[in-house]
Amino acid sequence: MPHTVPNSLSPHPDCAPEPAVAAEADVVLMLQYRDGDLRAFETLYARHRGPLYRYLLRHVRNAAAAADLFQEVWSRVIATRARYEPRAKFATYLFHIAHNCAVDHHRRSGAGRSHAAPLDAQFACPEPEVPEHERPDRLAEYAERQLALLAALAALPPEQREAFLLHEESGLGIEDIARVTSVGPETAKSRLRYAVRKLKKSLCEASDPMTQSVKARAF
Amino acid sequence: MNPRLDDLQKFRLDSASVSRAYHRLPAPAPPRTLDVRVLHAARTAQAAACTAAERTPVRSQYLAPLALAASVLLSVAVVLAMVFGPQAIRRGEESPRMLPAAARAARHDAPPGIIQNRQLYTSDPPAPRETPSAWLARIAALRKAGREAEADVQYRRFLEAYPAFARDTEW
Repeated sequence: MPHTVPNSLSPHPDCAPEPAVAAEADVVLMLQYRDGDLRAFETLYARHRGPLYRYLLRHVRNAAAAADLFQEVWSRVIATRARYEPRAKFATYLFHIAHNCAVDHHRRSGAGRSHAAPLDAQFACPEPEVPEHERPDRLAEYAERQLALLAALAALPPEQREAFLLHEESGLGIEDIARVTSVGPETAKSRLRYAVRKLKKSLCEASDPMTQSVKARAF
Repeated sequence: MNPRLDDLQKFRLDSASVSRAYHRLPAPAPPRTLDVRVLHAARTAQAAACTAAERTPVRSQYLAPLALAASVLLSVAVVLAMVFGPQAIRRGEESPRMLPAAARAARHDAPPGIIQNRQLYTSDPPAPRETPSAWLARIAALRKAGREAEADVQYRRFLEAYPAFARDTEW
């Protein structure tokens, strides 16, 4: 699936600031935007557009719905900017809005209960960013592992998937994940642990030659 | 080794390897149309906020105290006007309609000095008041002119008007 990413909106991962510094800068940017600085919003948007979109896409598992939710989340940020108070990290604020939008979406569509729903096109046909100089067998193994990880991620219960995505995409810790999802820290930690355990298992199975051979025979 | 710590260490190792694998996945980004829409929405909202701020130069939080101050000033002005204004000065005067017809007629007949107290109850311009000495001089002139009857009538009226003058003065 081709993704047209405007260069001006894609911060290079190598140039990304330290998490604590970035969180503080995000709060400053949001306060500047609240006070009327549109440039601050553009910077903030460029920083969070990718993680937010991937969180929504992999959480709701539907590209059209993810696009709608993505727009809704930013619309809410824009609409409520005058009332913004820096009580937590900006990422916590942003992903809390995203969580609420996703919950509303699940309620509307009734998709929250379908754990084993058919995979979205994004999951079925990933575009592995494999260097071309790698050998074909390595390439195949790499693609296999990616597919396995995406499939395992899609198969996770929504709460565990959300906890994992929040941890990986927004860089939030247990406390912030708990705050975003409105649960206790122990619950958030438990969800994250289960998610990691299941994903690790799927990765191991994808790497295991015995499992591969069993799969090959099955096909 | 503490099994709980061992479990935590295992989780951290698993988490790190899963995290590495996850971040090697393709990273889909929002389509450009979404970027355009969101940034356009931000610009529109900002422009609307600026327009609203220009339209209302006086902030709403200042309007209530201003309105209160204006009300107090207006009330004070009204009270001052009622106490010291021209209406208050006229309040002591009565309308000509309140003056009895008989008193009004008597006033025109009576000499100026007699009706001096009644002038408070009429809005007609006060008649020129004749001083006692001038009145007596006029009576003396009438007598000198041989108009004794008229002089006697005027003198009777003078004595009615100024009884104390008659007692104190030798005539």
